[in-house]
Amino acid sequence: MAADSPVRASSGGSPARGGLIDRLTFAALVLGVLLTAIDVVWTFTLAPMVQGAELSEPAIIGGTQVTTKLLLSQKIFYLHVPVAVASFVVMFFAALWAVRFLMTKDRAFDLRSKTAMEVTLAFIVATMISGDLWTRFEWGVWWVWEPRLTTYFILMLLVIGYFILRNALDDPERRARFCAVFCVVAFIDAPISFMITRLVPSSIHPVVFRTDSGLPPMMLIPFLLGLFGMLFIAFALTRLALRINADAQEVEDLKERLEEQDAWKSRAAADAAFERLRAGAREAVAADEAPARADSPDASTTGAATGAAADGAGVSTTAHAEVAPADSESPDTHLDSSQEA
Amino acid sequence: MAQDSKPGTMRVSSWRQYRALLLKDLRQEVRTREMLTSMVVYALLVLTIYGAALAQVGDRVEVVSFAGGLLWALIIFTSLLGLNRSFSHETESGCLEGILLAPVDRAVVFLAKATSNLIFLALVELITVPLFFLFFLSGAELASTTPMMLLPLVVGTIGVAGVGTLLSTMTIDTRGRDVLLAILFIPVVFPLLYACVSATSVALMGVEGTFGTFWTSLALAGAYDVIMIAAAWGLYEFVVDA
Repeated sequence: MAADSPVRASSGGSPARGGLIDRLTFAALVLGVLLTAIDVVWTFTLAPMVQGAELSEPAIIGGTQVTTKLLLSQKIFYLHVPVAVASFVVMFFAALWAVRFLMTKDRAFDLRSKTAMEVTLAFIVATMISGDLWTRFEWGVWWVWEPRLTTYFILMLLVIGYFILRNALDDPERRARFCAVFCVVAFIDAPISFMITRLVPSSIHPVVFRTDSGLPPMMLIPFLLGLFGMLFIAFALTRLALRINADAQEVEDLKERLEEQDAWKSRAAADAAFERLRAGAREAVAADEAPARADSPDASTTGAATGAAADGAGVSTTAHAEVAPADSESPDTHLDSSQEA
Repeated sequence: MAQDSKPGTMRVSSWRQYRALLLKDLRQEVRTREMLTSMVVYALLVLTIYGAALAQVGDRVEVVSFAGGLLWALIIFTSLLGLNRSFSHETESGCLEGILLAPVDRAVVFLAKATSNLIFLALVELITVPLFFLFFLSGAELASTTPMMLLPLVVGTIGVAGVGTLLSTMTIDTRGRDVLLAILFIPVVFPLLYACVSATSVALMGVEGTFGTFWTSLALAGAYDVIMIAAAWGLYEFVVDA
């Protein structure tokens, strides 16, 4: 079972440096930005200001009939929906990588899942901001507890909760596992949020993705440009963030290894220092012994020196002088005799 | 973790493992009464706060129209407290390690824990829901369809117990686990809450022609239960072995 298979350090699944995908990242970013820019320009120039898909008939909002001023805010649609779709797509990949992490226990997938969640959060926040502008200027309120808004808001809370969970766990192996589980559980809300406009027809949010959307080409083309542009940007952002996170993780790993080696080294140094001290002590003992030997040339054993150190120089010298013949015996007898003296 | 089915080895059936684990939880609760007392007292306190919050409302406003929401807020907060406690004695006395050392399928551990949580939640609801009616709806005219609110109550409690068991297992060893469980639990359980509140409100109001919403909400809550419990069941083995 999974219990006895520790998390492997990143292996084959780790992002390849300088590979084809890596080189494509920059191109994708440029392409995405370009497409989105065309989308924005098209939105404000070529896209007609007629009744958009959002409001097919004039409606009374906040006491005023919908006018061109209100329809201008419909331009948010061309960015809002692509960003929202991108957030779902990136989160799908986050959940996919989380599942693959649980299957393989390869830390590279945890890294990818986490990175994708970070990008998801960025896109969700962007969607919330653009969506909030939409609710304010199209519906006349800052916030409604409407099913789509509610489920999407919950999605944001779940992604934030994911990062709080990540910070609350210290053990990297356990953190990776729990976060992967929570990522999968959190992702369940994404299809709910996506499908809610179909499940609850009373929702003010229109069903955008359908074959009979009725968008005229002049509106459909910029929308699609924005959609693909945003997906390219999402891909490039995920890739770039992955590169940064991989570097950060590598730095962490190196730091850990460095610390380990440092610990080894300092331990070795401590051992060496200990040895030196021991040697020094031995030398000091020998040095102590030397004057004793000088005082009484007969006292040749170390036992005499120890006795001398224990009793004090004055006593010992006299003792040595008196019991010099006993010196060849064990130190204990020598000590006794010196005390007697 | 598949059990050995080698010939000659005594194979304990999953049902017996499940029963043993469940009985252990129940016995522990009967002896300590830790979870039930704290949950009931907490629910009473929430009801008291409702009393203060609605003090100026009086009988004029139809409390019935938002009673479903109030009742579900009570259930969610109370179960949050209970779920936080449900694993505390498991870790305190090293009981979880013992269970995990035994050759028991992780899914069985999950089911037993979820069942015991469900039983405790149901017991608490048995006390608090009548109290809620007594305190806030005794003066109101109840619709004849009021007993139908038991359906979302059952479906909702099952979902809360299932998801809560998974999440509370995840948060036992974290820093600041009480807050973390709330942060994870409330958003995850939100769709269920939403569906149950609308179903309960329809049942309490009993307006003709709104029962389509009741059944749709109930179906949504049921679907949520099935999906979430299946997910929790499948993912539980990744959460417990450490």
